[in-house]
Amino acid sequence: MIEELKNTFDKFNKKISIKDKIVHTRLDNFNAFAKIGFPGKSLEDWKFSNFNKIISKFKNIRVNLEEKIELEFNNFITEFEHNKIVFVNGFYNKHSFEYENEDKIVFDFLKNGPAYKASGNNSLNLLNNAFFTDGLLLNVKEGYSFQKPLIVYNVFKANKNNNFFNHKLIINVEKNANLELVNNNINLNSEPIFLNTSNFFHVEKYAVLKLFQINHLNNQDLNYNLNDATVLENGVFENFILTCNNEFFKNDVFCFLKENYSSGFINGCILANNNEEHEIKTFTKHIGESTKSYQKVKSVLDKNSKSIFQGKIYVDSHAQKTDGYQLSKAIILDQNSEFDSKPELEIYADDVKCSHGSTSGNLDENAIFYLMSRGLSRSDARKLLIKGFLEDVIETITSEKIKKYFSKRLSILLNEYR
Amino acid sequence: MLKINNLSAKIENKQILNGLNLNVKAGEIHAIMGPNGSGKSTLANILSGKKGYEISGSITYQDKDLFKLEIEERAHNGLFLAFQYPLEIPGVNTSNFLKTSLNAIRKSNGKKELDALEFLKIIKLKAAELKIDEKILNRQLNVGFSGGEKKKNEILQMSLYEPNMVILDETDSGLDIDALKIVANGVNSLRDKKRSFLIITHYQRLLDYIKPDFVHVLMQGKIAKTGCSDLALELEKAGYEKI
Amino acid sequence: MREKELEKIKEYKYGFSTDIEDVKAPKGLNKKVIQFISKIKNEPKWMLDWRLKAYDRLQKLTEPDWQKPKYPKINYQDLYYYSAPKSMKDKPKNLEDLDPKLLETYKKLGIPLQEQKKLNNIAVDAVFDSVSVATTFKEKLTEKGIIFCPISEAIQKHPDLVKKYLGSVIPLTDHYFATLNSAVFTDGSFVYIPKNVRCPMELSTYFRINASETGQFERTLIIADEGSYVSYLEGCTAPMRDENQLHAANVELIALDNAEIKYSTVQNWYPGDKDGKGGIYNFVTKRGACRGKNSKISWTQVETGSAITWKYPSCILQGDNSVGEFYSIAITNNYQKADTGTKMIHLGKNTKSKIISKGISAGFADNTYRGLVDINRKAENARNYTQCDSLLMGSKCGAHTIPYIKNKNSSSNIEHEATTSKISEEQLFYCNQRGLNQEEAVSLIVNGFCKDVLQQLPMEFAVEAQKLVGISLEGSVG
Repeated sequence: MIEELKNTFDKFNKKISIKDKIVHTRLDNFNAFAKIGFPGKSLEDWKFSNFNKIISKFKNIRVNLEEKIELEFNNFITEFEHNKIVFVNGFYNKHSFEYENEDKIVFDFLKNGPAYKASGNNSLNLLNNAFFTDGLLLNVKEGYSFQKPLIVYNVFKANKNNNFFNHKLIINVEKNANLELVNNNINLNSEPIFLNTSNFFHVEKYAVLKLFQINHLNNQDLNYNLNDATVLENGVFENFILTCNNEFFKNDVFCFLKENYSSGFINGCILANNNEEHEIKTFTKHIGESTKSYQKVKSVLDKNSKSIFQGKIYVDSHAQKTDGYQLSKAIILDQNSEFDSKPELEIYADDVKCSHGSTSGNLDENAIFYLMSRGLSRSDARKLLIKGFLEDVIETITSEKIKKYFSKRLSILLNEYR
Repeated sequence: MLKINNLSAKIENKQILNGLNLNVKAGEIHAIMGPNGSGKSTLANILSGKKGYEISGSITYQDKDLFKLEIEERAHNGLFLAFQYPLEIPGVNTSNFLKTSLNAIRKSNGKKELDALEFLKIIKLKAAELKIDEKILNRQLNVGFSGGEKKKNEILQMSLYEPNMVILDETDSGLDIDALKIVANGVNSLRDKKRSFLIITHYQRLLDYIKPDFVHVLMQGKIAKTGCSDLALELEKAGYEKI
Repeated sequence: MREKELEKIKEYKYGFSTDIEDVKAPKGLNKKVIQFISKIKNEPKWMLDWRLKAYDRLQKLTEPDWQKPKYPKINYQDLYYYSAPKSMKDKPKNLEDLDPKLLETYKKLGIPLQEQKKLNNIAVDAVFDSVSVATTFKEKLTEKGIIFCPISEAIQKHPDLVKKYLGSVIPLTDHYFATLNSAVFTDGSFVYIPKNVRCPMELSTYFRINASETGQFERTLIIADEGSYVSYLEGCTAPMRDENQLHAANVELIALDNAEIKYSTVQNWYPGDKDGKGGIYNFVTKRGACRGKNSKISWTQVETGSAITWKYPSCILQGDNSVGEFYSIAITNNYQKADTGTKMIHLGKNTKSKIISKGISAGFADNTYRGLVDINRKAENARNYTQCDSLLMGSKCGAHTIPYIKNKNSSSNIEHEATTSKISEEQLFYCNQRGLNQEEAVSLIVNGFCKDVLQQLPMEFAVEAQKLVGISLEGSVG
């Protein structure tokens, strides 16, 4: 497979990225990737999944060699007003900042730099550095608050020769600035895709970045998403995801609370079904004093599916008065599903408040009985309980419109769920 | 017994006590009243040796320089503070805690340490005298205790250690009338010529049951007024503003 | 072929003189050393074959390296595998030769003089009081059909039991240290409790004195037959003077239908000095199989010693309705490191497990709880409850919680909770104000923190353990 990728990379390099300013670093990154290959089970971060097996099922990995794809794009999300940037098959299509003061927003494409050094051992990130197409660089200037959310639409029209997409975002939110960002991946065709995303966020002093991930993908799609956020003094990073309909999905979040009073909130609902495997992995690094991090992840599993929560809170010896909390819960609905969890604490400061909890089990039969005695059918009773179980995480969203959107979407997904 | 001379205290550059003078003789009961933030609890903390204050002035206790005594040495010398918010210590059995601390005090005074049986006899007697349910002895120290139970536990400890100088830091706050009576009863039964009390309170209520010899009003870190027990009633009616 | 064998015998004669009393095996790990150990213990051939099989397997294994505490590479060829590394003449002759600090500790623990001598390998000519005691106990046990003897004796006298159960929980092929132990173990305890017998007393390594020196590769095998009960105490309650020495013991427990085994350890090996020099590497494999239905295995450990403690006493819950429990206190001070926890493997229906872990870290120490709860697909209605609490004292130490949870059964229920905290200034102040000095206060609070585990210990152990908790943390609070 690596060999195949190498051929693809050569073609890609000749055809697409030849005009890039960063063409040489792509090669470095590819070589670094080729050296270690796809992540194996022996890596602690990939302990619970067998990615090599999953990727091997993905025959004929091909990247896009056609830049221009005509597409009349209508807003996919109509529930709330928003700004948008549209990418089709990884290439810029159009944008509109109709609600904003455009002087306060800088945006550019990452293919124009900066160049990425081939460093680190996250092989999927190295692969992304080699293959990403336009890529988005966005800077929100000091003190500016977006009036409406910004949705980055990633639309894919895949076919047999075009099924591997690498998307990259770099967002900087300057001092006192504010942004609600929605990343929406959409697969318009039924051809399975492998989507590999690496995002980097920088939240400066007193700034707030809220990141919401919405996927409209198919249940044969593979999706790896890296979010790497650095938060400065009094800054806030918030990440919420509702997973569904991916054969494989991993949200790999690294949150670096670098300065005092910064905070990171990483929450998610996992709704897995039909042999799917979904994972949320978080690594929160508390370096500044009086920093705060919460993670709440809940899974509902059915029909031979699997969910994984790996959460790590690291507290540096300088990070006194850290407040860290992790909760992962799962409901397993059938005999063949599996929930794996590793909520980890690594603590070197003594004046901290850190705790985690994890539970898993089936729906409470007493609760089902109670609801049925009030006239609900068994299936409605179950749905109600599942909705309540996941709704609890949606409640953590601090933006009302978006909370409403997710709540509605959860209802729709649950109706299709069983 | 206790002589406080020109005591000032700062915490994080905030002046809390500002030249406080007080003289408590053996057998006397002094009440200190004052509005919130007047420095009442700071005074209690400093007397029992809490760290973190920048202090000037002097305190002599039983003719010793109090500042030269460690916290536990003060306890060994019979200084007892009933905490405003008694601490919860998970896993530590109340009865075991009382026995350990009582023996630490006895040991330092050259007395024989009590064995479990002797101790149990005493503590049961004390609990009965004070009408405190002895069930609390088998629970974890203050864990899950109601506010009243915590305060009663403090009074039980007071009567167990038989201290020379008792400081009650707002022991009455948050108590219902029955618990208040238990507290007052505990104090009154210990009252004698050799033992002194310093009762710190926000309300006059407790003083209906314990008649102090002196009432002091603490304001802006010093004693603003001193009187007899009638002063408390006066304050209850007129408030602190008039002082 | 024949020539080769002759060659071997020649070498053998050359390498080991006939005067067995005087020799120890030469340094190094090889087949000859294993043959020597087996020979000197007069073992049957099947035992030697078993050891050699383990040795062959060992050649294919490498030391695990995923653990948190790292240690300098051990040169396995530089170790003695038979006889203690210190000969009699190196041993301290009397108590005055010992480090006064050690004696101080003994005094605090209230260990009687005879015991102190025994624990330090001091050659005492006088007959121990406990020898006669041990004999009386032995008679009482034999009456009930209980076998309690050194494992080397069991290999001779009860080969069927040993053959059937040895290596059935920790297979030859397990992991590096366990396999090393299988190849070179010198001695250890063997316990068999017959059907429907409730062992009338706590069995302990204390009582099994005068069995030959067990050395660093101890092997323990405990079998509780149907309907039986035994409580076993492993007491390493006094420090041993050893320099960075490896202890790789194996303990296997087997509980058949309706049987129960309770295994308690208080480990206080030499932790190294306050600068982290010396101390034991305590790399022990302990595993129990709840083979029968309604069986129960309960591990309780108080780990206060050793430079590095690296062990996961585990339960394989095979029988339906079987129960596994793990209660642990791990205290690390100065430069000590601990990576300990448990594995609860749920295979049978209605199996239950409970994990209570209390880690206390002070000085420059690192304390890790690492555990696995694995609910198999067929383990219907399995239940697990895990609680891991860490206490940090000072900001130079670390506390880590790494639980692995794998749930493949929808009818199961797993609960995991973990907290990290410190002793608050206010708690200390409160205790001080009640007349306790700093160390008494810390000891009291930490004992309270550990209460859930301490109360699992048999009475006579609990008292000692409580004192140990206090002593281990001395000097940790300024």
